Amino acid sequence: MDQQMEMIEGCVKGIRKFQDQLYKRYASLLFGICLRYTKNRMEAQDVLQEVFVKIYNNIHTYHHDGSFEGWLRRIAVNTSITNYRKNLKHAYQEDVENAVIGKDEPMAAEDLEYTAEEMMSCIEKLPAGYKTVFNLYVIEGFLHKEIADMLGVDVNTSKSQLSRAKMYLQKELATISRVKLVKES
Amino acid sequence: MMHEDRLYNQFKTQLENYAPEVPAAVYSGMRRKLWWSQFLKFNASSLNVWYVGAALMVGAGLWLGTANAATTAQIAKQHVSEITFQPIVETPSTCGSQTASVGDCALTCTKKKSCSTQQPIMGWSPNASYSEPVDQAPGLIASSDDQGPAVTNVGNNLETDPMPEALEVVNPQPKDPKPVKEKRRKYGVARY
Repeated sequence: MDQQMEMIEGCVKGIRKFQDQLYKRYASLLFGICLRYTKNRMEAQDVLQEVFVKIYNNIHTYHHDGSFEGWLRRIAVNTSITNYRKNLKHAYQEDVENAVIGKDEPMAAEDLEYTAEEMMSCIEKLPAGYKTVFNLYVIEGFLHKEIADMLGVDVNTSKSQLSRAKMYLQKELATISRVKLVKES
Repeated sequence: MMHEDRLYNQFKTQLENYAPEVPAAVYSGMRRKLWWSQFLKFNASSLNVWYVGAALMVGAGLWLGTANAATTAQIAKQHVSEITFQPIVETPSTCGSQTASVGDCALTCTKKKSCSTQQPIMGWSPNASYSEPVDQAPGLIASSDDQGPAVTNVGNNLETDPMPEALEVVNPQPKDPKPVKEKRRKYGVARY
């Protein structure tokens, strides 16, 4: 804890050694968050760079009244949402293209466990709007009202996008489980 | 169908702390962006765009000031040299009393008294180039009574050529012709 305090104080003063220490400690975690919200790794890398620039420029505003990791996560999520809103036009077209989900698709098996990489590959295939709402609701734990405010959409839009995202993910997981079952047999 | 909560929990537990390896290029890119962001913000203790802008302004001001001074000095020098080498010719009409430049000569001369050839010509240059404007002076010709050399020859050889005794201004400027009455038409009838 003292080490973290020292690191934060060093970053406030702009000492490079402490900035590098912070980067080494949290870059992977924040990169994981950026990956969940972006289309590909390249975009995630750009967002991660912006996240760290924001962290270093605004670290003096952190008052030690909450979890430092939570503060960092929040910056990463907000930056990812800003990036999403910047690319909203393209994302909307993608949503329309991928909005058709077959109702008779097989669903994922309940007893199967999936690795983080498998789940990430499923999320990566989601249209941008579904992906954002799913991440905010399921992983970050925001309410639909909060999500609607953050994205500038209607609450019902948020709910319907989550529902569609769930269906889409179940279909993808079913495909993965089928492949797994074939390999096992 | 997988239960909603179970699906969500599975995603949350697997991805909440998902931490893939970060490519090395991200760090250098981040450092570059950080440097730019700090460079664009004003900070009294470090070099930033405001200081650079101020330095450029001062530099530009100094450069413009020195350039202007140099140009002014050059122009002044040119004028001084022109003034220095401007031929001042004392024509026979004005010798001893007043001087006139080459161009003014024809306009100022009237019928003159005789001029002694022994009188020195102040400011006369034997250089041929200075005698050219004398040739071109309008209306300046030798009078018919005198058989002296033409003005054009004067100055080519000061020692041998005698000065013309008298000069006459013949029609220094053409008189303005009578103004032609304009044709005016009124109601289709020409009037003069």
